[in-house]
This record gives sequence, C-alpha cells and structure tokens, in this order.
Amino acid sequence: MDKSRARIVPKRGDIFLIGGCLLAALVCCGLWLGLRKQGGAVIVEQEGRETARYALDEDRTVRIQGEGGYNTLVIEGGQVWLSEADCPNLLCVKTGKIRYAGQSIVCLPHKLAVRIVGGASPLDAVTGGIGG
Amino acid sequence: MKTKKLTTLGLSAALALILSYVESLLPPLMAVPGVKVGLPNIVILFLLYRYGWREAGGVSLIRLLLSAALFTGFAAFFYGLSGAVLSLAGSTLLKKSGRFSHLGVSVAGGVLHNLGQITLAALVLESGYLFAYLPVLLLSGTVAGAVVGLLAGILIRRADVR
Repeated sequence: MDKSRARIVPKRGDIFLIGGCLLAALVCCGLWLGLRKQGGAVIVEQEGRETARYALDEDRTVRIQGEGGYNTLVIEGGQVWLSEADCPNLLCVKTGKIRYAGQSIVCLPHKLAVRIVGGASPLDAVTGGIGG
Repeated sequence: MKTKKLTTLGLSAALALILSYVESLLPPLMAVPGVKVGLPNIVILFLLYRYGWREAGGVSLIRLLLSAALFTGFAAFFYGLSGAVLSLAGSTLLKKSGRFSHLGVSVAGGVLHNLGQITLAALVLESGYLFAYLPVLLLSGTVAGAVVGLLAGILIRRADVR
C-alpha cells in the first residue's frame, strides 16, 4: 500500500533521455534557422511526382485537382499557402504561410505536397538526398 | 485467471478506442500532422507494464484497426501502425534495460511514434523536405510522451503493477 502511493521517481536514464530529446530538437531547430534561405520557386507534388512549378515572386491563385479532392494554392508577396481544400482535417490550410526554401505544406489525404525550393540553399543539400 | 486477462484486454481495447475518439474531438494543437498527446498510449503503456509487449501490441493493433474503420480512414491506419510498431519496440527495449522509469519509456515511445510517422510520410510523398518538421516533432513527442508517462504512471501504481 505504501509503495502504490509512492511518488514517481525518475531514474537517471530518464533525465538523460529527455534531455537528449530536447537537445536534439534544439539542434535541429538551430540548424533549420541557421541554414534556411529565402525561397525561389514553388513545387507542387502529387503522389510524389512534381506536377507543377511556379515562381515565388509572381502572385497567383491555382486550384490543384487531385484524385482525392482539391486544394487551392495561393502565392502572394513571396509567401505560399493553401487557402481552401476539401480534405477532412484541413491541416494543410491550418499550416499557414510558408516562405523559406525547404518548408512545405502537406495534405496527406490528397497525397499532395507543396514545397519551396531556393536557388542555392544549403538545406537542399542536406534534405534533398532523403527519399529521392 | 485467463478470463480475467481476456476481459482486461477487451476493456483496454475499448478504452483505447474511446480515447482516440476523444482525442479526435480536440482541435489540433499545431498544424503539423502527428502533433498530439496520444491519449490511447496511456492504455498501451499500462498494458506493457501489466502484461508485456505482445498484449500491448495486440490491443494497439485492434485499436488502430477500429479507429481507422470508424474515424480516421485507411491511410491513417498505416501512419498509426508505423508509429505504433517503432514506439512499442523502443519502449519494450528501454523497459527491459531497467535503466528507465515509465517516464523515460513513455518519452522514447512518443518520440519514436513521431519519427515512425514522419519517415513513412516522407517515403509515401517521396519528400525529404518533411524532415524540416523534425524539431517540432521531437519536441512534441517528448512532451506528449512525458504527459502519457505521468498519467500511465498513476494507473500503474494504483493497479499495483511492479
């Protein structure tokens, strides 16, 4: 009975693990902030294949039709966002505006990814090799 | 005793399913897929301590199947599965090592859950750019894992398991 009321006692391993995870998050975040570059172009990928590419400095609104439904892509003032979609959770719309190379907006239900690439962003070299 | 175990596992699966429904009602904390507390994992973690990884994995699979069929859909099942498998494997190993309390075991589970999902998402979408979300997912996995670990810890102590 006494034991069942004992308070949670974290072990040494817990502290190291949690500290390690937070440190890893911080390092990743620092890398991202340090390496990010202003984007140059917007790439639309459907089911993993590039289906369109737009310049980031030209304002436009495009309706992207996929087999799952549609998303409305807006490029304005160097920023990109999805203003509308008929996917169930609307996470892609809630993602908001992106502007840096390497950032992306993903709509998993429609297998759609909108991402920004830059001229010579170092992040391209870092992440470009993963998953083709 | 066998009946009691069977009943416990059945109730656990029902509870985990309800918790995933409750979680689906909450508004997303952030607009990144995968950032959530993972309430059903309280049940799974409890089962890992009460019985073992087989029972925890079995209930987890049933929960995923039912929640995919009822609420989230087919694609979500595979994302959930990739996270759940990696998370359970990591948690089991850490638990067996004996160097971590359920807090650490749960944090590892939370982080691995997110890593599993983002890896699958990156493979499906063939976009390594998803890994720009890594800091967010590492942080949210740690926090979610800690919350789940604390809650499951209360259960584990009350039920007098270990």
